[in-house]
Amino acid sequence: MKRLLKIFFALLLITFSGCENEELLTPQFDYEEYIVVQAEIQANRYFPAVRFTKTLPLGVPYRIEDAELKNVTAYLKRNGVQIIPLLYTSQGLYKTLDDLFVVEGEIYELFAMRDETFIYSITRIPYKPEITNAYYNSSTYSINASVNAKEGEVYAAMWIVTTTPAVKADDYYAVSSADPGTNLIVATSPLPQQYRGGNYSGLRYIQVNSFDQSFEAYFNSRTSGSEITDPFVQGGGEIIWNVQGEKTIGLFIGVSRGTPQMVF
Amino acid sequence: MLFVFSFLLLNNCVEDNLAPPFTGQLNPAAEMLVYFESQGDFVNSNLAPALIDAQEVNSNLTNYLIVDLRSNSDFQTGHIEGAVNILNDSLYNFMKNIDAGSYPKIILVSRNGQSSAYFTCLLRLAGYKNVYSMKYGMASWNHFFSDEWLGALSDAVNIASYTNDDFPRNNLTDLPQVVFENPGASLPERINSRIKKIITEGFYYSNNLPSENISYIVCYGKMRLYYARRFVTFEGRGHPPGAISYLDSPDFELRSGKYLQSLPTDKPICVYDYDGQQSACMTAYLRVLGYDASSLLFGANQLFYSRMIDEPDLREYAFSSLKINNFPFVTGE
Repeated sequence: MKRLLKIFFALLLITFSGCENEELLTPQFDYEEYIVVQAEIQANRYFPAVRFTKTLPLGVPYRIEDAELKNVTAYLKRNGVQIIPLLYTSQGLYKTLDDLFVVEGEIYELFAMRDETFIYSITRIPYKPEITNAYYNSSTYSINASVNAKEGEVYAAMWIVTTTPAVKADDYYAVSSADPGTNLIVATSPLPQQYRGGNYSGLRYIQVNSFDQSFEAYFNSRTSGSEITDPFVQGGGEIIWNVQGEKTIGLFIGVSRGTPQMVF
Repeated sequence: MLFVFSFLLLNNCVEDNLAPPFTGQLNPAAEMLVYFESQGDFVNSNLAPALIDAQEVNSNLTNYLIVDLRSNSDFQTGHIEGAVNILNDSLYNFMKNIDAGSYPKIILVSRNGQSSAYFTCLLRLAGYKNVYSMKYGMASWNHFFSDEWLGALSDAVNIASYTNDDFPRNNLTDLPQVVFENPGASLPERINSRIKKIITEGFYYSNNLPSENISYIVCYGKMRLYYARRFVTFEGRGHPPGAISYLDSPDFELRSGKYLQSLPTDKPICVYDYDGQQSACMTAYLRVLGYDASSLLFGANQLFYSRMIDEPDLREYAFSSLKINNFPFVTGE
C-alpha cells in the first residue's frame, strides 16, 4: 500500500509540474506589435471612420503619429453585397468617399489587409432600444429600465443627472441580454450618494444603448479583473475582441443610442 | 490508476491554443475600387473623360506629345504634324518607355474621339495624369476626316418605341470575379498589369444599340438625356425601352457607394451617353473592374440627333460641321 501511495504522489507531482510553461519561470518582456481596429457604428448617423493603429511598446508615450497605420487596404461590405472602400484620411482614420447613412438592421463587414495580415470583422446595427418602463431603484440606488429584447442585440445603460453641468456615469454597469421578445431589466451603476435624494427626482435619467451581441463578450472580459486601463493602447489582457486577424485586436461594433428616459 | 495518470500526463501537455492563424484574401475587384478611389476616383469625377479641344492642340503643337492611335494607313493618309503613330497594342509600353512627366500634356487622337477617350481613361487609371483625348478625334481637326462622324448623325429607326418611362436598376449584386495575373505583386502593379492587358485587347464598342433582352442598357448622363421634354422633337420619347438611367456629375451613380453593383455580371452592358466619349471612359473603367461592358459609338448623336439639336440642353453635345476645324495636316510617315 505504501508503495502504491508513493507511486501515486510521484505521478501527482509529475502531472502538476511536468507541463509547467517555461515562460512563467522566465517572463518575456519582448514587445509584440498588435494591430488595433476601432469603429463604433451608430444607427441613423453617417458611417464614422475606422481607425487602424498599432500598439506601442510599454513606456513609449502614445502619440497618434507613431501609432497610426497608413498602409491598410480596407473596405466595407454592406448587407453581404455592396463594397464600399475605406480611404486613409489622417491619424489612422479610414473613411468612405461619400457619406454613408447607417440604418438599423444593416450588417457591416470589415475586410482589410495590412502587409500580409488579413483582418475581418462583422457587426449588425442594432435597433433603437424599445423601453417599456424606467424607474429609480431606491434599494440598489441604480436606475433600471425594462427593454424589449431583440435578436442578436445586447443592452447597457448609464445614468445621467441633468444638473448644471450634467453629470453622467463613467461606464456601463453591465451588459444584459435575453431571448428575443422577452422583457429585460437593464441597470445602471449605483448613483453617487449626492444624487440619491428626492431633490434630484426628475433630474435623473437613464440612457439605454443597444449593441451588437459581440459587445457582451468584450465587456465582460474587459471588466473581469484586468488591470488594463486602456486596452486599445496597451493591447494586453484576455479581452475578447470582435475583430479577427493575426496579432490584431479591436472592436468594430454596431450601436444604437436610446432616448434618455426621466425617472423620479 | 497508472493508466489514468498516463492519460492525464499525455493530455495535459497538449497546448490549448492550436487554432490556425486567421487568414483570408481581399476581393480583387474590391481592391481595385479601393485603389482607384484612393487615387481620386478619376472616372467618377469632373476630370473625366479628360477631353481637349482641337484648338488647344493646334495651339500647342510643339509643347504637347500627340499620340495618333489610328491604323498606319489612316495615319499616312493624313495626321497632325509631329504626331507619333502608336497602335493600342503597344500603347502601354510606349508610355512606360517615355518620360511621360516631361510633357505638359499627352494627347491621344483617334478617328472620332471614341477609342482615344477609352484609352485615355485606361492610362489615367494607370496613373498617367497628363493624358487627354482630343475631342471628336480627327473629325474635328479637318473636314477631310469628318465623314464618319457626320454620317453617324441620325435618329434610330425604332424611335417611335422610345419612351419616358422609368426602368428600374437591378438590385445590388456581387462585384465581378477578377483574377490577377500576378497575384504576388503589389496592388498598383497588379492593377497596371490588368490595365495593360485591357489596353492591348482594344476598344470595346457597339455600332448599334443592342436589344434590352441581350444587353443591360445604361444611359449615362443627366436627366435631360434620359427624358425628352415637352414641345421638342420626339416629345415623351426620351430613351429606348429598357434603358436604365445612371446620373453622371455631380451624382456619379456608378460610384461604389451608389449603384455600381446594380450592374449585372452575367450579361453584357452597353453604355450610351451624349456623344460616345464619356461612355467610352466609363466602359474602360467597367472593363477593368471585370464587367462585360461596351460603349455605343457616337452616343445619343446616333439615336435621336433631331432631338439633340432641338433641345437647348442637349445642343452642346450635338456634333455638327460647326465643330469641325480646318487645321493643316501632313501625309505619309
